[in-house]
Amino acid sequence: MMHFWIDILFVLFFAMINGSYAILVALSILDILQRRATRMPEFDSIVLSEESTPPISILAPAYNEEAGIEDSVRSFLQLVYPSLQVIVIDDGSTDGTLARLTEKFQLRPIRMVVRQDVPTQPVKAIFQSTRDRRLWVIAKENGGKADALNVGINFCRTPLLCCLDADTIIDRRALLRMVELFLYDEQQVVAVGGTVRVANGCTVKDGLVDATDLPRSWLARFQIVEYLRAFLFGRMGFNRLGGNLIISGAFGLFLREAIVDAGGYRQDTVGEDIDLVVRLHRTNLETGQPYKIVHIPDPVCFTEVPESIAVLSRQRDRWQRGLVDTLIAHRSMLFNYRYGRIGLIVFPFFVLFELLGPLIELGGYGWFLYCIFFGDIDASLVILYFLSAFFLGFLLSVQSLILDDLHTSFFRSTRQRMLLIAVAFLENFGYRQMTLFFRLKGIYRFLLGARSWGKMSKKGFTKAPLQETTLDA
Amino acid sequence: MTALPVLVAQWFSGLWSVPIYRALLILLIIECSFVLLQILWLMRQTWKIQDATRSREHFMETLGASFFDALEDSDDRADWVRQARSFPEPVIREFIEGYILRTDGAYRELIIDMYRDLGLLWLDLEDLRSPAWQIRMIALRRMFLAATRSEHDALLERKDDIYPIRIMAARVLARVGTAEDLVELLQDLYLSRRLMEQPLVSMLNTMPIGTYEGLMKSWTKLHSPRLRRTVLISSARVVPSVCMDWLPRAAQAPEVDVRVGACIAAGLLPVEASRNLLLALLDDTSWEVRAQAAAALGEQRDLSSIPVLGKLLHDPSFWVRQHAALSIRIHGQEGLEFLRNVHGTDPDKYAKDAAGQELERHDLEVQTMGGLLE
Repeated sequence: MMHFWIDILFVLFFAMINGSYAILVALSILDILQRRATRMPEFDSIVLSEESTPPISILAPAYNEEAGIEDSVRSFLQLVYPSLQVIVIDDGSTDGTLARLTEKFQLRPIRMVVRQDVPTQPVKAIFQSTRDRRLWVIAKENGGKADALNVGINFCRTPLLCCLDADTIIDRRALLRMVELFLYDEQQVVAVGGTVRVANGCTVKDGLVDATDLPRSWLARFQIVEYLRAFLFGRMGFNRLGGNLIISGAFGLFLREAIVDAGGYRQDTVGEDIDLVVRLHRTNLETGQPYKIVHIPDPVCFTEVPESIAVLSRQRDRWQRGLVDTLIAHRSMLFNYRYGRIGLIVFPFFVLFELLGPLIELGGYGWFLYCIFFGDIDASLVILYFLSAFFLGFLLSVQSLILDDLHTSFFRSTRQRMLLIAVAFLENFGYRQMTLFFRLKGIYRFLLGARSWGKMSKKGFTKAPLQETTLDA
Repeated sequence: MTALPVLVAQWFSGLWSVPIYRALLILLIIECSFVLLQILWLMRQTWKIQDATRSREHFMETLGASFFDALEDSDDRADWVRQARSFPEPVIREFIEGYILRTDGAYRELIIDMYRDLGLLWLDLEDLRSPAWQIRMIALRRMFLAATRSEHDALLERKDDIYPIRIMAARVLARVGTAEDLVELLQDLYLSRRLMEQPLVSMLNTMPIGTYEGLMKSWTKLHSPRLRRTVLISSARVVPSVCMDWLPRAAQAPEVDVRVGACIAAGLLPVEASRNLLLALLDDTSWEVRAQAAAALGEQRDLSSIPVLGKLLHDPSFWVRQHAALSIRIHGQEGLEFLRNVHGTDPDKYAKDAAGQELERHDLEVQTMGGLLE
């Protein structure tokens, strides 16, 4: 009898997860079509010439980024936007990050009165560039990425702020696309997240993506399909369910006032990006303030994904720890009608499929092995079950390629698309199981109390030598 | 060799006879069909992209070069339009819309005529009646470039539509409609935050002076305080005398947004009456109004304002102090001297901080200018 109920449990989970994904796909198609109607590139020249275009501050936290900081800052300053300031927050770097910036941008110290809207570590000095007055650099005691972002929030005085990673490549018109939501949506947008694309395989010239192609590394190719799936139906679908819980730390545009009201970034977590979005939901829902958190399918930035299993493992481990930490910290939202659709649909989705999903999936594999070991198995049922699970996964991946085609596809040739279909097929044989293991490792390490970022290494967009960066929270 | 298909068929029929297996098999068949259909669809889209690229190239080879010659002569133009009709609509649109966007004056009018002759404006009007708002929105974006007074009625029908469509219709009507049309379209529009004023400012900037004057006559009919303030500020640039008539009323408005707008508008009108109005607003109960009045007084660059602004350096609000200090600084040497004096001798720490910061900013700007000159 118990055997029967365990079977039922796994089948139910299987039906629920795939049913939810099917609903998200349908919702994301509607949202992508809506976005096609509301993005207005033809008005860019008007927006650029208007004094009334809201100013934006770019907050770029940097820790030991001496090698790449100059290129990153130059690419931020090249963004097409009429009223922009770039604020680099040097989070107590021990290398020559600050010296490099001082030399290249001729920084001069300036005494500023900065209000502490959000508590942070002490600021050591504030500099403004004499080469480009839009560039400000803040030197502070080391306090982690979240603390650095909070310093930037205190410093900036623009209504909108854009938080990003110093090592991402931003599309030159990304801010124009994202600001449209704040200008034309009457439902009080407080945050906009854009779609992050994989930079591996792309040709980068002068800090901008010059040409896009598929990378040689299969690990990176698997992540292309994974990113399309995560961003184009995972996050787009939630727009119609009250908004999703994640805006990638790589690039997000926020209403400053909303972040300050939510208390800024939380400093004792590795998932500060997801935690902030959850708190934005929470604060606005608790105060009854109308608000909207939106994800758009427009490709706003490119990031380099790991091409080595060790780095991928550390990245996924950190993502999972950040997710678990946030979901546990805000557990009172779960099935709480006070939080509307977020508490009743979105939060439970993340708990069931993102937090508990890996554990249930592991349980499924374990149960399968148990049944084989004890000979208590219906081979036909198992084969049919695995085949249907496999094809459903494949179906969803191909679906994400179609969603990509509906909006802005970078992969338009027959060769590229056939290759991506092959990648979507092959990722089920090993890659998915591997990432499942990394996520489980993340949960295990969270339970052991691990809170550090771990060591990340990047190959670099060009033929630069491999550089190692350690980010300790 | 023939045994394998037979075995598979037997296995399959065995499975089909058991309900749970049958359900899973049906699910599998559905999934496989969907996967296949999606792959076929993706390939079809790929070929469509390639086809569109070929069409575009063919269009450019056939008609691209003769486009400007055709603009010079009506017969050539008719011939060009006749030939263009044989190409797919997206290709023609992409080509002609690009030119409407990049041209002005008589050339633009000619291209808009061609747009109309090609039947594209007729298609836009059809789309504007679509039940799907996304299609209506795309139609309006196209009409923004090509609509004329003839499309006035169709645009005005959008007055009960959703927010972005009303804004888009207003942007087109600002060019081709009257002040009354705009009032009808916008009077009950609600702007939930200041960021949303930007598209309206763009709209107002494209409006002829006559329409402005008409719109200002109906200023009180606009319900949204943010909309009223936007119109008031824009009018200060375009029709200052009309704006001046409304300023005293705006300065007394119960809504903070309108009073802030009155400060900004007054700052753009350097006359005695607006200065007096700003001096009165320095005592407003809202810190936002006081801060904006201080900033506006700075814009007027009247040296007699410095002592009044100096008092604001002791205001309890951080932003009022900062704006006052900035306003004093932009008065030049006298302002800088005043700030140095406050920074050196004033016992109020907050006033000292505000003055000190502006002095620092001034020094840095001087250095920056030097850096740029190097």
